[in-house]
Amino acid sequence: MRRLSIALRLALLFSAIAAAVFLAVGAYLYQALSQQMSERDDVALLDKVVLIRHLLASQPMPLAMPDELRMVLDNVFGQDGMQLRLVDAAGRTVVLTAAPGGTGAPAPGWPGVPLDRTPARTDIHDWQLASGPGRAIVALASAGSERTPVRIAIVRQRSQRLAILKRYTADLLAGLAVGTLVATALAFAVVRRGMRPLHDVIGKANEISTQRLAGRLSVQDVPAELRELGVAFNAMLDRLEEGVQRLSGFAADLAHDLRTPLNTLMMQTQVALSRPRDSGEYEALLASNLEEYERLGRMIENTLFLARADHAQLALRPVALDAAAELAHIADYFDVLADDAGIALHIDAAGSVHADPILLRRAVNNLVANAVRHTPRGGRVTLCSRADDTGCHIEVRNTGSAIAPEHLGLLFDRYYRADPSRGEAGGGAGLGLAIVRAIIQLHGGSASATSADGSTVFTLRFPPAPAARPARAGGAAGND
Amino acid sequence: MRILVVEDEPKTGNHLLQGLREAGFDAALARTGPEGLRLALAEDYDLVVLDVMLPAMDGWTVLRSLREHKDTPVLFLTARDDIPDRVRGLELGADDYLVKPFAFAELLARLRTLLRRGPVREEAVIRIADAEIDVLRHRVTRAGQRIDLTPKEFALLHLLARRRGEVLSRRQIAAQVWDMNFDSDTNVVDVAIRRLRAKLDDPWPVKLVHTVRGIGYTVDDKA
Repeated sequence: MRRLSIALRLALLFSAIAAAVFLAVGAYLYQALSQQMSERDDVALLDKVVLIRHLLASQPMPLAMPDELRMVLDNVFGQDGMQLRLVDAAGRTVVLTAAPGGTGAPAPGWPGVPLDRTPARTDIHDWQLASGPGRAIVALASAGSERTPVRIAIVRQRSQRLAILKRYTADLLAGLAVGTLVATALAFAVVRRGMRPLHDVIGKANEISTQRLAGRLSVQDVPAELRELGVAFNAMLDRLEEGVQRLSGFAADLAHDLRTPLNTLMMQTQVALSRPRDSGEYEALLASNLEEYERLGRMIENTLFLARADHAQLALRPVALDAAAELAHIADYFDVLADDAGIALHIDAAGSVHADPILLRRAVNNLVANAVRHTPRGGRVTLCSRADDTGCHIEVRNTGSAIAPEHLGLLFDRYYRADPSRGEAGGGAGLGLAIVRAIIQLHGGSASATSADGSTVFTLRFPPAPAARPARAGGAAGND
Repeated sequence: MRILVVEDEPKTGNHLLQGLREAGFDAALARTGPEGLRLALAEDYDLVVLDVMLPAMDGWTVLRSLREHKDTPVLFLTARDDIPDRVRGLELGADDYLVKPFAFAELLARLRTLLRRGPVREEAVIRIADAEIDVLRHRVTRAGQRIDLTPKEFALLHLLARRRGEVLSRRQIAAQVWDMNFDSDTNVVDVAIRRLRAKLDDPWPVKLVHTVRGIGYTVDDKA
């Protein structure tokens, strides 16, 4: 089932609320009206009692001519759906007015309201009539100058009131339905209007494409609720743009770097073919070509490695490694090289490091290769490691001329060479340190370089053992 | 040893064929998957070198169909080295793989391993020309004269001497002697070889360590 749109959902919610409120108000109004009507009816009933008392008392001989009295009283009572019964002391009905509801009700046998008291609402009681529920009151009165005691019983139908209330209920329900519909429609319109900024955001987002990543949502003129979304969206675009730029820059660098060995290959092969040569020369050419091919192959391999590290596609299998053993293994490999270059190679290692063994070796290997390459004869290269609860630091330190501060932050960038005139030995193509950085970032750590007072230090910081998998790290390596 | 090469790229196929024949193998070439499969099933080859990217019928399919009938060892060549690709090949029953571009010496080494050319001679004393390598006591002499080698130099000489006549690439040497299993981009092997030569060859007229340009090094008494 498709999810309802926010606008529709809100509108429905509004209409439900409106219906509930209307219903509650309607119920209250109905209740109040019915209360008021019954009060009014009761007051009219009491008025009639007072009126009859007065009438009986003021007439000289009222009960002598009951028929006349009835005709008078018929006029008074008939319209209001009341019926009056006068009973004399002997219990005979003297006057009985016409009953609007048909059969005359029997007079209730309650004790009447005494003469000395004005009847009150508490004296009125519910009374079942043939035509339905009713109210009745009984009062004592004295008739004429004789002061003949008389019981007044007035019965009143409720049917009229109920009819009015029924009509009123119908009106209320109709009002409720219409009101709810209007509220829903208005709510829908208002919500749609309120959502317009969201549509604007979507429209803007649609305008942004890979070709034009520069566009950003303007977060000033959107409502507060959307601002956060806009900010997050813009941050995502920033990252995307950076990624795309890096990728295209990377492609350009790679193309440029591939051109160099290819150019060498074409040139020397064309020159060799331009005239006949002896087999020794051909052999030299082929061997030289092979070196270039290997350089190309290495570049492709390193580029692929970086691309995969970039997309976190490299399976990392970190284990606890003895840092001393790992560093000794690398130092053992470089021993011959360092000795040959007149460089002392020292190890000062302690602790364990949580890392992928192959990648760790590759990273440290690149650092040591770099250090050995840049250390003058008589210098020294030190491999050192320290571990504590913040993780493991591995340092490769070498003596020699310092690297200028403006280069330090860029050393780990692809194809970056502090000295553009000097290619890396073995055709490293300037990817060695970029690979170091990619490896340490895969481990969720950081790499940095410092250089001062004739010594340069490259530091790898590996996080402690239960390392959370790194979020895609971008940005430059951390610096102290 | 009969080897079938299945490779659609004409130059690559021809050069593989030439290289294998010159290395002493009886090699045949198929240029498409179906043809390769037909040959592999019809003839008895000791090994099949199979390119993955073939037209009409890719290497995986050839491999799967071949495995239904035969257990001929298969080494597959691929230009893609993403892990799933390799795993897939090995799961389908390939015995080994090489990623393009590869060194021909590397291919030969892998083929020899797969063909179980028998374990390399593990003699207690290896003699090449007037040199004697005492493997157990780690002693090397030439014409009876003791030559003092460091442990790494000895390991390097022992590796090359055991596989006398075989050309080993720098990468193979780095992996065997220093246990460095990735391309280190350094000239450690070259420097180590130079130092070994200084002790082993320079004082004597007959040279034992030979450079094969662009490929690697070999030890033999004839150049």
